[in-house]
Amino acid sequence: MQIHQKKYGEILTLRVENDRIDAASAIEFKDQMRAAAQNLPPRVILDLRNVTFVDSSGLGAIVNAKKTMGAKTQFDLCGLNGAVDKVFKLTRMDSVFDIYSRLDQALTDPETHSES
Amino acid sequence: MTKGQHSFQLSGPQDFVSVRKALATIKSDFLRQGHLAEQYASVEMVFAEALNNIAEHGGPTVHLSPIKIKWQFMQGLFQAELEDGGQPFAPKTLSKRPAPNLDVVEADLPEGGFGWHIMSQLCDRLDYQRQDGKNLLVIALHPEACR
Repeated sequence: MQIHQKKYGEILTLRVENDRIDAASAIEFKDQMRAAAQNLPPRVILDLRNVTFVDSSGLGAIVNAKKTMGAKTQFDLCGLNGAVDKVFKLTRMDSVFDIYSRLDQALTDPETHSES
Repeated sequence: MTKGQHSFQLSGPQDFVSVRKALATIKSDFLRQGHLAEQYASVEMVFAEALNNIAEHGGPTVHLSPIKIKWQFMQGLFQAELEDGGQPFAPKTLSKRPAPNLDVVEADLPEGGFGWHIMSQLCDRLDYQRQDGKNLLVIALHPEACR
């Protein structure tokens, strides 16, 4: 599991480089999210543009990441592909996260920008 | 299921890595028949949840025999049978349950319990039988393209 980190001022982006977050990789994903959760900025964006498949274990791992980041960090998602988006909608998890189509939209959202 | 039927056996260690490989093999077979990758997306979600459930909860006997998968996709209907030698499905697995409750504080958000809900949302048919010491899961769905 490879996750690319980049800081944009007060925003940390985490781009998953693998194409799956599934039962076989969920534990490793959680470990990497825990490692990334040290010295958190006010906002983290998880970029899923490269991910084409998330199963229920992967979904649970993403929820776990949100909880790991804690209530003081806004944890948003972007770049959900068709099948990944469908899993979020089927489980209503799309109502739990702020989800953006693309990273640039997430970065320039004026509402979150003014808060950070 | 006979006409246009395909089959696949998952032997050896029946763990999550093996499930991932099995899904890739079934996908290749699916695409070789001229079906669309977008149509396979729903099928993969259902197969992944079913096979991971077997790998996670099958118990020690699940490794003694292969998981047998038969499938066919005709006239927009995808049908499959999955047979495994693991322990019987727990009754609570099979009950019609709503999606996990999300109207909770962040710390209490559920991290599990979505698998069977995803399957039942996607499938038109989802039947389980215990037959001759084996689990038999029969599924049918109309896979709509995910875009």
